Amino acid sequence: MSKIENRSGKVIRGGITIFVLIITLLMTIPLYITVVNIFKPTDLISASPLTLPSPPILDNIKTVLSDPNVSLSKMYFNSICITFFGTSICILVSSMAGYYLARTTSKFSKKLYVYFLFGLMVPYVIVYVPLISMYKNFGIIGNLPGLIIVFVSGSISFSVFMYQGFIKSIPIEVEEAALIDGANQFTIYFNIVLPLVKSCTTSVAIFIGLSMWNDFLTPLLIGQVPTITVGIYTAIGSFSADWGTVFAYVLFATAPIVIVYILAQKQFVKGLTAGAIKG
Amino acid sequence: MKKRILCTLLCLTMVAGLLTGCSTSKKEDTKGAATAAAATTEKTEGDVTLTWAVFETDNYTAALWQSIIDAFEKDNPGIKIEKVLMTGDSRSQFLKTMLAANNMPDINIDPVDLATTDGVYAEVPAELLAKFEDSAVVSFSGKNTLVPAYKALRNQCYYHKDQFAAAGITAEPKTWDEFIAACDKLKAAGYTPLMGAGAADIWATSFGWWTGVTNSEIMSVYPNFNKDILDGTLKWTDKVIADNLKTWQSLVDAGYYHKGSMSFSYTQAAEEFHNGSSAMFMDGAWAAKTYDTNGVTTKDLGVFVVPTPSGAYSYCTMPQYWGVSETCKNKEAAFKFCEYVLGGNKDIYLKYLQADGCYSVTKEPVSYDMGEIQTEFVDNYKDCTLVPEIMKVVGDTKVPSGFEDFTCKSLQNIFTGANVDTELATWDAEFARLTAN
Amino acid sequence: MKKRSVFFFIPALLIYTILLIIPIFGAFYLSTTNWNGISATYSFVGLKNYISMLSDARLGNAIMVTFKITGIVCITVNVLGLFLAICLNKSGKMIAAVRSIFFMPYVLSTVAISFIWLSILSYTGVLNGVLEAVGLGSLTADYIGNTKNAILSICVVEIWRTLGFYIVIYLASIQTVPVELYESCKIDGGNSWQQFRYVTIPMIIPGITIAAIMSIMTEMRQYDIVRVLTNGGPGYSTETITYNIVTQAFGNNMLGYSSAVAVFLFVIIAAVAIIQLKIANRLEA
Repeated sequence: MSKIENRSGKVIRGGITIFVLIITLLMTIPLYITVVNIFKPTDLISASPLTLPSPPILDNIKTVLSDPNVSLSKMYFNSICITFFGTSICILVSSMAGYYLARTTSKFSKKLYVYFLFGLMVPYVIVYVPLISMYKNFGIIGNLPGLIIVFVSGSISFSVFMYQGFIKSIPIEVEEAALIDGANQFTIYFNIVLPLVKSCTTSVAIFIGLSMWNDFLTPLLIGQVPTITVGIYTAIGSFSADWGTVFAYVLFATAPIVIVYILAQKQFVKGLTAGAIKG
Repeated sequence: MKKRILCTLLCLTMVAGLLTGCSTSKKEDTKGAATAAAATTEKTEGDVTLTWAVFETDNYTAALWQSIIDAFEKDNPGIKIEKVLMTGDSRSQFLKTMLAANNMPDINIDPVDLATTDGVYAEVPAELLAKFEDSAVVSFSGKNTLVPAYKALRNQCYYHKDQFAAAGITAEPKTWDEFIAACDKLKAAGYTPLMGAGAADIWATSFGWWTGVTNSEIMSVYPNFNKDILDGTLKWTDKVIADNLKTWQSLVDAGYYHKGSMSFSYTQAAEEFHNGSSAMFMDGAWAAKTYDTNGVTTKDLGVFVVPTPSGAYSYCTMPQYWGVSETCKNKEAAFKFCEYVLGGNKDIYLKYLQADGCYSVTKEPVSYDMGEIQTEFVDNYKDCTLVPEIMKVVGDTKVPSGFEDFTCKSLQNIFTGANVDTELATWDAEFARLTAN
Repeated sequence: MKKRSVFFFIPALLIYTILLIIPIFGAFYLSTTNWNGISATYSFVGLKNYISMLSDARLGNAIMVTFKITGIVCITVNVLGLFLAICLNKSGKMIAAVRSIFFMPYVLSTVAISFIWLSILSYTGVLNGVLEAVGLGSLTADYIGNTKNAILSICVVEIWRTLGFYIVIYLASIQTVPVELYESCKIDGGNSWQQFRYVTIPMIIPGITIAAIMSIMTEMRQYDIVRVLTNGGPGYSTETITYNIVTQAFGNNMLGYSSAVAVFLFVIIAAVAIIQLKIANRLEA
């Protein structure tokens, strides 16, 4: 009985391994195609898309860099600005709010927590039109700082959720000891609590930072600011036949993220899935 | 460890590139802030700054816009022009969001969609309007709010002479039957007769057929179509339109179109045609200019007006306009800029027209030397009657905003086999819905 | 314990309320008007927008398309994700490398991904090219311009993009199951399938719930890939609800109406989330 099971077990296991290999191959092919074809001239790309470039050429990259209609540095600047400042501001205000919610056990605090969580269910598209029409005279629509604050408002729900949960799991004794020593609330927060939640900060930063970097509709409609995603969409627009250039643009759009991902893979995965796993 | 060093180096180079980009873009940002300040106060050191919304393509390059700006600023000290690039792929969408955000650029290219709403654009001074052909001047509810920029010829059928010769076609088709016969001969010889386009370029599927053939047929039977459709005398389900579209569908059903048509973006389709994947392609006038620039001669490529099933022989032109926003703080300077580029400085106007292969609308026509193919394109219209283009009419008989996109999508449905009468019924419903708003 | 100062939450509260909550109420209000976004005047029309939504065939189509995409992607991604998580629940450098490859598409921008897949799915693109090269030229098809294939193409891209994410979630879930439960199941004579059915599944129900909710909520808001790959086409065959909202708002100048549709989408997503949570609570008990 066990012998039969073993044999069929081996077959099944072999089958599964092959299946996983096939799927892995399928998953990798699009990435492989992108990287390989940047260094091939366009006609060669259509003719033989899967072969390695020989010899590799840099023309496509040069086209993108020298395109007078496109200013990559400006787009990177915008994207980095948004991501950096947006993430920092959001982390600052959300961690403070999460701290309050974690340490206060009043009915009000519970209601406030649910209020903050409400935003997780909202499809952001509902907000575009009223945001523009209601606040156009307040100077936040159409410029970089305004876009940053808008991104912050969209990320607060998730950040507060993460911080509240994390801080709750930190023992309160350290803070009480500092209180006895006469420190005030804010010093306690900034000097003691904040360093303790470093791993949560990393997770939150990666999650909201990535969504700010990759967001397409918000900078298009609200900021009218060319971030890297909006920028390549506009730039490629009429050149969609020139695959070599398209891939070069895609490279420029994704390279920064890929670099950071390779460097900090564990944190990336942890950060992006932390929200789901916690829930 | 090595990985870390490599990645750190990459990051450092990126940061370095950023910093250089930073300084230039910071300058642009501060200049932008200064522009906003200048526009709102109007009390700077005598310098007026205007924002000009443009879009950039292969033909309309950043260099072109900059040369226009430089020339104008040189001849008009005291007025500075700041270029604003329209992002995304929908110009009217960009302008609408700018308008909603109180950020409307002072001078707009392609303002037609927003001009239907009163109060968006400023009225053009009569002296400026007088410089343009009467037929180009339009009004919305009695107000002349747009400055004519140019007119563009629309479309014809380009074809590869070698494929025609190989299939035994000796002359360009002049009647509908000849056209079908040509398609059949091409198919028999193993060539694909027609190229289509689709994918993300909604307008491209129907462009050649609707603008060239359907428009001519409708106009030959109903010369006041726009007025009639707006006041309800005519409906979109009209037999003339239905029959014409059914004929189009029959072309698809007969297998004349390239199998991959719907998956090609416009650029891809043009590229495929250029490489010989099909014998014919109904393309726009701008393509003639591109072929000339790329050295294609009439030895290899020919172009003819597509014959219509009913025999109507006409063509249309698409007028284009500039608009000065009502929110502009210095309209006099803005109109000065319009006047300068659109005819005032003949060289600059020439440059602007030549870029995309368009034609002047000033009372004193401005013309330039055209390449072989473009010349043939223009000559083909010699005996043709000029009719309005239904979807592009500007003024009070304009179709409501969004309707054209709706029809383009519906025409995609028809191309992929939907029932023509049912589709046209949805046109009536949507038209009613949009005009009621 | 001294009470925490209110200043801790005031900044977040202000930003969140002013820029998110108030505009949501603004959207509710706008949905009862007929504003076209440009003119300064508009009028209050009550529930007229909602009523015309009921007879809007284009919206009905968008809803069908969104449900189709959500259904196909969510089921595939969850089933395949769980299966692959079990297969990859081993240690080793190769496995780790495979896991990171699976996850990478999730961090890339959707616009960039769409352009990559455009090159693959185009009629003269990689997929058809490979099919022809291996002699299967008869299988070549139009994946983007064909009404039936276009939706499947969008699903394929989404599955490719998010599969790694759900694999990681399921991996984490599976790893929380105590080994002793498997042991006792084996002692009772259970084989691999029975272990899976009676030990794994019940223990990871919270994980399944979260993955299911997240995948549904993400797919219902699908926009970017549709915009770049097919632009809602051919015709309307890939137009999703969000695409419909954006087009109505900025293309058709019907801001009041598009706000009504947006409110409708919001209500659906909220309802789905609440229903799922209720089901999950009941299952867990």
